Amino acid sequence: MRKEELIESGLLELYILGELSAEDASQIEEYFQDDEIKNQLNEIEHRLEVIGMENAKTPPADVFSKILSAIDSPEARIDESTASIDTKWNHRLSALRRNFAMAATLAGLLALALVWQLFSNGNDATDERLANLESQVEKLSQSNTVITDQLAYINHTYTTPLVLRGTQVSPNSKAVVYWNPKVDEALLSTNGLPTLPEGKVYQIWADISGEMVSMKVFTLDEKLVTLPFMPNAESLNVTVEPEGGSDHPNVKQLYVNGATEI
Amino acid sequence: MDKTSYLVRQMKNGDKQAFAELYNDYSGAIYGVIIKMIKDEGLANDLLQEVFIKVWQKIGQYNEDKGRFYTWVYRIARNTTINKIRSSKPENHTGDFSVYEHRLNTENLHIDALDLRGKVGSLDQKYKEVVELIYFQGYTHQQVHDLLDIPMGTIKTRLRRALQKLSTIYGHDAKILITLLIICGYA
Repeated sequence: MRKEELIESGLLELYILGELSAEDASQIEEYFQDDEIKNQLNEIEHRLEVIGMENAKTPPADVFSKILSAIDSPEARIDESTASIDTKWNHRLSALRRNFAMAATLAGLLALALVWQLFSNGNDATDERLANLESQVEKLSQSNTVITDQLAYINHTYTTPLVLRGTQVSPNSKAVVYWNPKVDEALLSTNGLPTLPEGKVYQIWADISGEMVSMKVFTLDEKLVTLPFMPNAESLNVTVEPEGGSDHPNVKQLYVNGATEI
Repeated sequence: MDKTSYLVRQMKNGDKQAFAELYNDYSGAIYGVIIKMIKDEGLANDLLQEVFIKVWQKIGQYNEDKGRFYTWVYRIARNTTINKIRSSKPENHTGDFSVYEHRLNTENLHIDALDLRGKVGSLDQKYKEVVELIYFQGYTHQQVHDLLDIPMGTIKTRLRRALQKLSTIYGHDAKILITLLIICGYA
C-alpha cells in the first residue's frame, strides 16, 4: 500500500486504537521511520487524547488508595493468591457436587428400573431391544446435530483455519483453530497435540497487545474444543499448565502458536 | 522532555509519587472510557483499579517511541474491559453452533446513547456514531459494520474524517484565542 493510500485508508486510526490484526499492524510499523506517517500518528493520538480528556469523568476518591494498597501490601498479594486457591477449590467442589448430583440421578434411575422390573410382568425381551434401539437412535441423532453444526461452522465463508505450529519445546506438535470474526466462538482441533503428562492440562492464550489472555483450559478428551472469539487477538498460544490452569502462561511449556492473520 | 515523559521515566524507577501524578492526569479520561463501555459504576471502579495496577506492573514494557502514554493506557483499559464483558457472558460448552448466524456480538450496543461532551459532541451524527462505538464502547469496525450496515471502508473513512474535523475545529479555536490575545495586548 502506498503511503498516501495508507494515510487516507483510516488504518492509522484503527492502529492507534489497537484494533488491527498483527499483519495490518506490522504493515504500519514498517512506516515508522517515515516522518509524514509519524506526524499523522502523533496527530491522531493527540486528537484521541483530547476527546478522552473532554469526556473524562472523575473516579471515586478511594480508588487510588486501593491501587496503592494492592501494589504495596504483601497482605494484598497473599489475599490474591488465597483468592486464586479458593477459586480453584470452588471449581473442584462444584465438580464434586456435579458428580454427586449425576451419581444420585443414576442411582434414582437404577432404583426406578428395579421397581419396574419387580412390578412389571409384561416386560419382554422385544420391548427391551426396542427401547435400546430408540435410545441409540436418539444419541446418534444428537451427535449428528453437533457434527453437522460444527461442519457448517468450519465451511462458513468467513471461517479461516489458523495453523498453530510446534515450537522448539515440541516441534512435531500442531493444532488448528477455526477462526470466524462473524461469530462469538471459535473451534480448536486438538488432533496434532501430544498426550499430556499426569496432572497437566493444555491452556490456550490470546496475545492482545502483548498481554496473554486465557481463552480456555482443555484436555485431549475433546477432539474439537469451543473457544471464545477474541477480535483483538494477535496470536494464539497453547501451553501446558498444572491441572485447573494458570493465571499466567508458562512460556517454557509453549507447545504450539500462530498468528491470527485475518 | 514534557511532563508526562518525565513522570513516566520516574515511574520506571519505582517512583510512586510520579505514578500518583500520572494517575491524577489520566484516570478521569480512562474512567470515562471504561464507564461508557461497561455501563456499571461499581464494575468501572474495579476495572479502573485493575488497569492502573497493570500500568504500574507493566510500565517497563511501555515504549515512548511507539506512542503516547495515554494511548498505551487506553489500550490496556479497552482490552481489560472487553475481557471483563466477555468473561461475564455465559460460556457455551455444548459445541452447539446451530444459531451462530444470529449471534453477532451486538447485545451490548447502545447506539442511542451518544452522550459525547466537548468538540466531538458538535460533530454530525454519522461521525459521532463511529467515534462513540469504536473509541468509547470498544467495538471493532467489523462489529460496527454489522450493526450499522455500512461498508467497512466507510467506517474507517468516517473515523478519519471525524478526527480531521476536530483538528480543524481546534485549529479555528486556537486562531480565535490568539486573535483575542493580540487584541487585548497579551501577545
